[in-house]
Amino acid sequence: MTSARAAAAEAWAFRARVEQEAALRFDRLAAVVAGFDPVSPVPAMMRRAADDERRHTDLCARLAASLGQPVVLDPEESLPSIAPRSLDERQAVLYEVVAACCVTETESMATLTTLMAAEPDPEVREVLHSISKDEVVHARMGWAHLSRESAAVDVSFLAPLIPGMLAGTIDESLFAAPPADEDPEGLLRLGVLPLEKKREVFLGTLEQVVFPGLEKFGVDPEPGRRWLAGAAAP
Amino acid sequence: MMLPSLDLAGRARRMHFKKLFQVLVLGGAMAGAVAASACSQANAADKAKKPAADAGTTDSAGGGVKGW
Repeated sequence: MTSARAAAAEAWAFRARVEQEAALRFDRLAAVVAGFDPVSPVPAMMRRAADDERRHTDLCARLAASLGQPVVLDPEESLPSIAPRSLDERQAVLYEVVAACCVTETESMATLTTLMAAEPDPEVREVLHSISKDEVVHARMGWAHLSRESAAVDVSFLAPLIPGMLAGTIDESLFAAPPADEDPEGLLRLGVLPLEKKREVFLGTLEQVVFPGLEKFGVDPEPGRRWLAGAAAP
Repeated sequence: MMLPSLDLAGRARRMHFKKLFQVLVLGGAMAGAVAASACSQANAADKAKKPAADAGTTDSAGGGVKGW
């Protein structure tokens, strides 16, 4: 197996697990949001998103298997909240929605659109295209919820929590040197960003999409910007 | 000074992120505005509530969500 093929198989297997977790998270969050904001369109979006994520899980797992890495998923998987324990229920939901959608799904969309522009192999392109159509909505529902909450309650408590949220989003290897045997063209053909490109997309998305979005809805982006400056420093 | 033609990649990247901001952030705000007026009165009372005193303190552990 080539190094690109092995790395891509691992990446798609990881994505299958990420998508499975997202389905569990959206199902849980939909029920809680509906409890305190019954006229919100977000719970319905989340329930549809959970179904999307289950489909994405299958797509990613099948691609991983075709690249040589079968994926075994636990059907009984459960997913605890990632929010700080000190938050009340409504704040905890907002924290988790911002982490899952405003940060991670927004970053995923930037990754997907970058990969789509890089001429991947046809079967990979088909999977990327299918997933990206749904991920647009998944990112939007996070911004929709933050927008609604910012009009209803004080959301400024999030600002000092953004660094921890971002630190939990990335692998430490993001700011390290790429592997010596990395094959950037091979990775792109198989739907994976080479490390340098991944870093560029992550930084650009935070600086030009996520931080301005947080600021627009009343969450001070400066703690996040300071974390990023430290994390990305050579 | 960088010649305009040499900055095409940088300009394309900026346009890419600008488009993402419009589609995701602004598009999301529009999606969230559906039925918002119906609950704005109920929300006025909530708006006055302040977060718990320990909300967001550094001793409380929070995590992130890994993605693609």
